[in-house]
Amino acid sequence: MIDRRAFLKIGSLSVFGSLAWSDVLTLRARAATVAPKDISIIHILLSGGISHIDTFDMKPDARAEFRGIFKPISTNVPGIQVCEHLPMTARVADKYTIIRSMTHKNSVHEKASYLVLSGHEPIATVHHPSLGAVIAKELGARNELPAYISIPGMTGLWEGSGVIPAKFAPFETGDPNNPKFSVRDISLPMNVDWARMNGRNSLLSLVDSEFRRYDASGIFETVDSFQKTAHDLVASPLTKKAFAIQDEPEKVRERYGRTSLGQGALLARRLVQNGVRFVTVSNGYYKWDHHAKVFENLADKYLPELDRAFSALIEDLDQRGMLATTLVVMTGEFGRTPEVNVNAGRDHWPNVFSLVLAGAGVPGGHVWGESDKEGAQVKDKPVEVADLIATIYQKVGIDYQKEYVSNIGRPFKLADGKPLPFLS
Amino acid sequence: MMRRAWGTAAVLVAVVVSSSGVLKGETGQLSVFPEKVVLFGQGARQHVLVTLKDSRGSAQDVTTRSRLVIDDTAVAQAEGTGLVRALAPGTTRLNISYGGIATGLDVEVRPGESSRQLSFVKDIVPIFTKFGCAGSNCHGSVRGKAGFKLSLFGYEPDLDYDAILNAGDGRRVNLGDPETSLILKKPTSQVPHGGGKRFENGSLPYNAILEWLRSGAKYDSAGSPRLASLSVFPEERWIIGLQQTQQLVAMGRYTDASLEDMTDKVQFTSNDESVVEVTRGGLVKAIAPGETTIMVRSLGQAVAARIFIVTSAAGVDYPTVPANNYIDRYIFEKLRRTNVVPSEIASDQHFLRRIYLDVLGILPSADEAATFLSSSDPDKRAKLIEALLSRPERADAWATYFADLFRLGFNKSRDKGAKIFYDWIRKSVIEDKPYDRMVSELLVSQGNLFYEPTANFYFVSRKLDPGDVATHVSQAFLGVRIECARCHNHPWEKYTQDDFYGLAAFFKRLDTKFVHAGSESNVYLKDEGEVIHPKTKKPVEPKYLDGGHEREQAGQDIRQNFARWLTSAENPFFARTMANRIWRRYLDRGIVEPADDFRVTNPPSNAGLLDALSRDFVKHGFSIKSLERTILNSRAYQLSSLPNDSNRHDTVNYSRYYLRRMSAEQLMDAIVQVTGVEERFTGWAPGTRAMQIPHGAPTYLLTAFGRVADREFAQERKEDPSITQILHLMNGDMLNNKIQAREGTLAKLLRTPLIDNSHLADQVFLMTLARYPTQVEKETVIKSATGTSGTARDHVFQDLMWVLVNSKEFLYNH
Repeated sequence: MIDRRAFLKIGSLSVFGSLAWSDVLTLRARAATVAPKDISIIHILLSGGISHIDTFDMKPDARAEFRGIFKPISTNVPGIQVCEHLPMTARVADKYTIIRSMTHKNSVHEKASYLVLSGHEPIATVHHPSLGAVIAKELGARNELPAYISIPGMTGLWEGSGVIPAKFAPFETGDPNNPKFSVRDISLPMNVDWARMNGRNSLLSLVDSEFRRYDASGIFETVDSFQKTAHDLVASPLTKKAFAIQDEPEKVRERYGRTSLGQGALLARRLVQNGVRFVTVSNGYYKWDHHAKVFENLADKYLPELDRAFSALIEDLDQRGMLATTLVVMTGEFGRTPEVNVNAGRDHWPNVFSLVLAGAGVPGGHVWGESDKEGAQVKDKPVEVADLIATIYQKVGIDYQKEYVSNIGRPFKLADGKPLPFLS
Repeated sequence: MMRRAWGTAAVLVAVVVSSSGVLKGETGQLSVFPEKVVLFGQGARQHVLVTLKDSRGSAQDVTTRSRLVIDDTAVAQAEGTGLVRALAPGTTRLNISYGGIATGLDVEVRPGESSRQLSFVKDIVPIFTKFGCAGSNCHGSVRGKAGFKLSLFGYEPDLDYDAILNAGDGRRVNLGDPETSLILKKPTSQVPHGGGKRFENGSLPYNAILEWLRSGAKYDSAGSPRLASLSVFPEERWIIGLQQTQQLVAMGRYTDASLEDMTDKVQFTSNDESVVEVTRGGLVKAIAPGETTIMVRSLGQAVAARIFIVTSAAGVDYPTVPANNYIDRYIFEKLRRTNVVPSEIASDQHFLRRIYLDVLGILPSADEAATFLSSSDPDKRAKLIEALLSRPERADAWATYFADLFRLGFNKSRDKGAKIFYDWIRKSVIEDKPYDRMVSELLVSQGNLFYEPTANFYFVSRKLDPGDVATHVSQAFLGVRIECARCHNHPWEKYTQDDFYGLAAFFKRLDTKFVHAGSESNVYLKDEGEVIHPKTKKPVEPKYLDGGHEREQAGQDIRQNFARWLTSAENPFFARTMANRIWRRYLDRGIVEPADDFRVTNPPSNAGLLDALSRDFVKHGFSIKSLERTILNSRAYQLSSLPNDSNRHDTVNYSRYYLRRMSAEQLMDAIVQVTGVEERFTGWAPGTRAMQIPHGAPTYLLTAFGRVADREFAQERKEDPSITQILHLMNGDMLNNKIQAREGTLAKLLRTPLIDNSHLADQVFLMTLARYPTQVEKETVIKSATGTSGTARDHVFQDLMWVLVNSKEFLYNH
């Protein structure tokens, strides 16, 4: 399909075809409260759904078949406890907030992931763009690096651009824990040096120039501008530097942990440091989906990795003075069943789960909300995903009530919720 | 539907047309709307439209330039705008004259109720639509706004009445002191209002609400008339000249058969304000050449007026364009009417590459290209089309198309099901199985997903929710986006929740269950099932869209009835939807666009053509291949993509072949084809092409260029560019390794004894672009290659191949 005014345009600024003066005043007033701040975001997606009861919302007094076998430990904040397998994370509790009352109704991975990444339930009439894609569109890239990057790559389409153009989908890096890690396609290919590449580009211009006459819609100009951006990305020393995780001191790499999650968090810090606005980090698709042997998995591998990576990231950002301008969000798409199943595992549980936030003005050493004594339902202060998404947009200076239109003309707001006051 | 006005209008005198298209001097024929005015009660109003038709059928709104004189001014009064107002019961005549032609119409004023009560339904509810209150982003949204919820665009007046009078402890109205009512103060911004000022104090809507409040704010009595249908006049208008305007008149017919002018009450919206603007009062103003639709909306109903803007009518220098078949006649007639000249016929080389890609999804080989280009057979194009329609690659291309449409492989653990479904589709295409039979087989399917190919058709949601199935069936075969009506009545179409749940009810017994490890499942029919209407909370009977109910008998599979209804030749949706899809596949834009969004407010860009294609499709037994053949042999399909000054801005009338980027599969397979180095897809036998893979995206290029790995959600492929794509072709190892490969086509050519650089260059161009290099291109390559040998020479031609694969001519099908 060629690029054209294909969207149903229902009126210029609003359905009503004009803006009343009071509408202008309202918009202006709202704009003043969302003055752009230069916040970047690192979103750690524990795809598969991390168990809340075995990590950030311990229930030592619940029945044995509910509380599991892990014990809580104190953190460096009196009154706040986390799982014994998160000791390093416990030592930086004064830097983050745990929300223990997240809730929604989707127990299917795809729908829950979609909700958590976009703030919307999936419906047939709209494919919503994810947080990162919206941020890339609204705020744009700060430099030659893409605005939105996914490490090692999208866990699913819920991290993608939905109905907005593909250019807002994330740039994928591959696994930075790979000893031969190099981001694909951003270096000249083998046997081709710049001299040869310049020769190629020159001949390409010639071949393209004759064909240019065939373009009536301007798509070729768009492609040209992408080629220029791509060229700048490849030629820029900043690109090489930003992705060069091997330049990090050995002990830093060790501190984060030589794991996908660990090196992913480290690379995320590096990218944010170099101007990237939104980075997702995961250790793969549905890796936290422990329907069986949850305690074994968490104790032996998953929690030690997480503990190391997350605490390293928080400490690192803090020491570099980056915490004030970097929002860290860590969550799964839901929690896990309070009652342990026959396979010593836990199944999907969206009714209540936990989420951790740090940086960008989020209060440290704080717990918001409460689940009941077995971690099954919200007891106090439920938090809707849509409200969290609205909060995040507001933090980066985007009007969360801004309206987009789907390709069949169905309007939707960026977020259907409202920012949470305690996080502002 | 296009009015063939010039065939039937009687011309009174000769016509002189100035360069701007405005009729001067002696003029044509006047027509009036309505033909007769009947008004009930003092104050009732009717807009009258005076239209001038010239000898060629061009119609112009001359109402405000006509002289309007009422015979008996005690009965009625006429304004210069064309508005006729009732004063007292009686009959009279309205005399109309323009430029020497005279006509007229009868005006009858009948007594209304002695004190004409304002009707809440007829007079008040429309205000909330017209002034935007009941829109989807304000009080009409699913949750209302600021605690005030109105029905979306007024489709449930009884709920609106309750919301205004009773909700919030009745704080919105003050019957003792009506002017202080919030329902008046908010929209006039006398108190802070998030929606701003919607109308003025003392305006018509303000006064109507005030009067209604003063008379007791009553709801219409039971049995009082409701809006039965809305219509707009004219339904279609060609406006010639950018300074022209056209008034629209909206008429409402109520359940008591009364007719009322609703022009002042409805909401008018232009679908494309860069072409046409419309005022609140329904006056259409031309902005730029093009065409669009004006949506006319009130009380939950919506109709459309189609407006075409042409700067000047086609003159004597407009070329005669030959027609190969009926398709061309419709296309070129529309173009002539828009005064847009189609492009020339595409060159042989462009046609050649295009037809291979469009029909087969592959490029012609260098030999095939050379043979075609050198042939002087005057019928070579038709013969090539015929030959390609019989090739097996065509079935792969169609199967991939259907894979997207049917969401093959939903929930990726069903890979096995996707494969057998894909194979079944492919086989059906090879046999050219009639499409009605193909769809019937899908609709009555059930069974094990791993062994029963057609059962996979239903697997589009985990629990086989009938609503999800209805959405899927509607989108795929009815061309209707019924899912909007799942949660509320459709904002722009007549479909309601009754329609949605009525459709879903055909599938109420469908369910799925695991039968074996590894996600092996059965789709089966339960003994019983029901679909509950979310508002009435009662079970819903199956109901055909725009049709009646059907009750399932014991022991019957009601899906069979549904299949019979759907695939019948008379079904208003089935043939049109598929004919539109087949058309879109080759012309890159549906006559209705999007192709699954047929509605009154999204009319076809060429209704005559769509009807003709549907009839053709039915006539040839729903044979896809037959319709393809007709489309491909038309001149319209074979037009060049090179724009001329006349058609540069056309994007909807097929004045040239619209450029389109190669699909992800086409690109992957083309790269393999030109380099001669296969791509090994994990889990697939060597030699498998991307177009033959039913499900998943087993290589990076496919995802980067828009193939969806998991068809979890129904969505269109995206064709827009991205950095990732460009980087991949520019620097990617995949492409570069294939170009440099020792066993690749290029390396073999380079090693051919005595092959000269000129011939080499020709071969590389033919393989990639299906053409010979231009003189400048050839000279440039030769210059780089002369004097080189061995690796250096290899590099020159590797660079050439890289350049051609990265060129826009390669990537964009032209």
